[in-house]
Amino acid sequence: MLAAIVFLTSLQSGMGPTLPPLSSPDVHRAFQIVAEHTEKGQFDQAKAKLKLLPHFAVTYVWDDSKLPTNLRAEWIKVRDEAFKSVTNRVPGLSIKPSANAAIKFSFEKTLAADPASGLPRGIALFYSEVPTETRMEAVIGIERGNPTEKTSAISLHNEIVYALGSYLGLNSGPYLGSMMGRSNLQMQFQSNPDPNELNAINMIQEAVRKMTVGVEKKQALKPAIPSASFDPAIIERGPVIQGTPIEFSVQVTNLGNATLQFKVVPDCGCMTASPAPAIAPGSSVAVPVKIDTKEIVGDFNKHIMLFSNDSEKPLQIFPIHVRTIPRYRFLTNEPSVLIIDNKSLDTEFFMASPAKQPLEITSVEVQGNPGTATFEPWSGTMADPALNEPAQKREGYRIKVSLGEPQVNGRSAATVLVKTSDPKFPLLRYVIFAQKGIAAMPASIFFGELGQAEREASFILTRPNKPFKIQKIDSDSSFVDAVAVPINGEAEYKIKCTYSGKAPLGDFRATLTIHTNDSKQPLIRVPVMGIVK
Amino acid sequence: MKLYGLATVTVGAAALGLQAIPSAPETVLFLSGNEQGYLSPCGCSAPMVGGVKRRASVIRQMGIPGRTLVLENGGWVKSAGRQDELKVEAFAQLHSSASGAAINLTTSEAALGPGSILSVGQLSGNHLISSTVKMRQGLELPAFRKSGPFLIGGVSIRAQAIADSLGGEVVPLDVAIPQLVQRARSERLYLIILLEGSREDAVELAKSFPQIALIQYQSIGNPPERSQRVGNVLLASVGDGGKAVVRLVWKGDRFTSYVPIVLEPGYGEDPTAARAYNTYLARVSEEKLLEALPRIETRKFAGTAACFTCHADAAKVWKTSKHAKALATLEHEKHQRDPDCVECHVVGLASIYGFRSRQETPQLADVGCESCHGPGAAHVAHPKAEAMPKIGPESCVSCHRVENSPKFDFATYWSRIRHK
Repeated sequence: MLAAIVFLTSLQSGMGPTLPPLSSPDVHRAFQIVAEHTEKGQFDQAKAKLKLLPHFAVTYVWDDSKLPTNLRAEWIKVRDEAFKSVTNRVPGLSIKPSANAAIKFSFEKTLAADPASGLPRGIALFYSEVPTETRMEAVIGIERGNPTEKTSAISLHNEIVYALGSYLGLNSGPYLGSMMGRSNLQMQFQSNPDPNELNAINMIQEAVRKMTVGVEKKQALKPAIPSASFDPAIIERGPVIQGTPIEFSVQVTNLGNATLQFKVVPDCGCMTASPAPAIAPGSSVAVPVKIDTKEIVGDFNKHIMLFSNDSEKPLQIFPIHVRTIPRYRFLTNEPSVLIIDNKSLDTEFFMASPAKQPLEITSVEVQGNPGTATFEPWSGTMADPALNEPAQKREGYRIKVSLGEPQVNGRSAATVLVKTSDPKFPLLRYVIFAQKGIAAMPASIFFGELGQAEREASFILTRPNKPFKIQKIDSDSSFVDAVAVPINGEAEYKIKCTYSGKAPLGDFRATLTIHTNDSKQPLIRVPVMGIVK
Repeated sequence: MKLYGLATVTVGAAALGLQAIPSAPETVLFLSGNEQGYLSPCGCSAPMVGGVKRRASVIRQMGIPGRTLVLENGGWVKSAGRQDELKVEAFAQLHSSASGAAINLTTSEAALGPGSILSVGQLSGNHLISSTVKMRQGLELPAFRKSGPFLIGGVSIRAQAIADSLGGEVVPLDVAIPQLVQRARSERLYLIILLEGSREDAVELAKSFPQIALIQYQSIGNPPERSQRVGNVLLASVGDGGKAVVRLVWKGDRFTSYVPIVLEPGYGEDPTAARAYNTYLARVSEEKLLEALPRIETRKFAGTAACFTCHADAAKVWKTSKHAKALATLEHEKHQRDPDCVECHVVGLASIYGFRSRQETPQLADVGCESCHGPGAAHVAHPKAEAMPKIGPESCVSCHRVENSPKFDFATYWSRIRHK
């Protein structure tokens, strides 16, 4: 996502090299330390502190003394593969063991918990600013998760890759699967450097080279400290009519003393942020952001991520809250399920749209069930319970539907396809549920996972407006029994099924046959299922 | 994996009008719900987020055994068809196997009718609650649940719609909430309200009833990055689509941690939840819901291979693209009979001339030319007279939606399948 970022690592006059976005605060700090020594004319100290900067000739110590002996060979193999996966992708990088190493890997059974998640950390990194000491110690948990389990080969691979990335100057990233995206949980996918990370690694090395040259030439270099300020910190927009693009700008200001490189990245495909140039110290740029609200109805929360070379906060996240008014809404006074007692049923619903921006219907048709539909302009007063809006005047269309008799008893769905002239909303669907005759609700009995204990499950047998009698209920399984209890006169029955707890392990299937006094539906069969564990 | 910034919130006992209520030292709460029918990613795209299997994995790993509560604020489905009935039963079963404490009955579940409500209630261990709808005889639901140091109530600003669907009576908010407040006080418990309503509704409720410890409301998108408070009432929402949960820690007499967690692939899958989910998929397949999908009359399809006679360069690009393996990906994930997934992995599922099955319509399997360009039989028969229409990014976004393809960027994705 940051491929388009172009940045400078040039030495501005008297200024230390500027690091790229994705650089960690630790590597910024190391560059600042070196630059501060040069500023004070302490070039010997500056030269010594160059060891704090990441170098492509990486050396390491592998202290597996706390690792159980049976894991050591396996983990060394994982380590070597992790090293290889990075060196294969980073030309010029070498990783070799050394007693006087830049990185020390060590292990603890379980690391201290991360307060945010309550989980033990998978890795802890410790940096030293003393040049004679190991620059970074990476302590990896032998166990992770809650309850703890042995760190898997993939998790170990990823922690090693993450440690290398950290040493090379990268900041933690939000994307799992990339070098710097990680989790304290057991990880499922192998991490490897992505193109943006590779780019940043190389740019940091370029900065190291320039800093080294500057120190060798005894140049007084001011620490380069870009600092990003984002305005506004919280973005609230709307209400707008759904589908209306929302456009606004966020202002990024460089409060530091070196060029600020950055990219604004939304966390939703519905948003785009335009690329923006680097910002000189003390300057600002406005970054245009556009939100496509076609899929947004009501309140909507997302974020904008600011990746930058800010020396302290290389990744900042800002919330966006948007509110939209629906482009259209379907309203009805009918119940959620219509009952077809006779051969057909006439019903209607309404499509309302904002008066300022009416949505024009071009045709309607019924699918999935025999039936026809027509439409006509309409205005009237209706509430919209879906959005908790009280009754108010609305405009749009009345859609009249004549449903034919469904082919089967029970509940079925008819879809009314509404075509409109708005290219953003060309085809809308409104579903009508119709019930013919006596229906089981739900259509089958699901016990879920069963054990050896007795269990009860119930369903409703219903035919609103037209009472019926249940004469008896048969079960084809000795493990299930059922009784009927009228709950709404004789138009509705609660059927209580009891599982005996004695079925053998595995999928459990049975069928209840309900005998009624209705000559058109004398028998109603309801499947029963569960899984015996 | 995104753990947004930690924001610490405190809700003191005194502020709640309670004095020295004894409580467990630390309880972890996971807020969930408002999945809108999204049980699990189809598995077609690695970065797809969310899903009940990852949610259960997070709960198992980030909870405290015996002191973890999962609160589900309804909104499980967005329609009322047979697949929705199967979904709510799967959600209910998952709830009971993953430290579930309470489920708020909302209009979403109520639209399925009283039978499904009975089923959900029983499968969830009678955790389905409603404080604002008094159900009729034979369908009674509890008005609240007690769990850990909390009394949990479930309310809806659309209670009338729930009552209409199920045949119950509305208990007005200004009656229901004071009853819950009184009950919590008398039992020395902290009050949590699961609210079917917006942030504005939650703010209003919090202003009226400052004794509430937590209100979980409904919203779309992601959970707010930072915790929100009105006075001492903590407001929280998980967004929609089952993409995230919010983890709260209650210690002593206050919330000490608020962390929204986006359910990204790295969290892995909980085996118990995976088993329940596979049962759901098996039921979807067994009931032949894919075959029962309503289809519309369209122009006829030619099939992907028919295009390649003339468009050889496009064929070359397509054959090495992920589009050419789209159905195989679903088959690998056992989603090949799931109507929620198949539409974006074949040609013309909504058409009477479209994909039926790999056996019946092999030429329409996978994402083919006509998935984006539209039906092409007429063009194949009369290439010049029946030119195919020009298409643009809008053809992509019908499938590359936020929930399916969160990192979709037209320029990047087009570069992978660029063809003439």
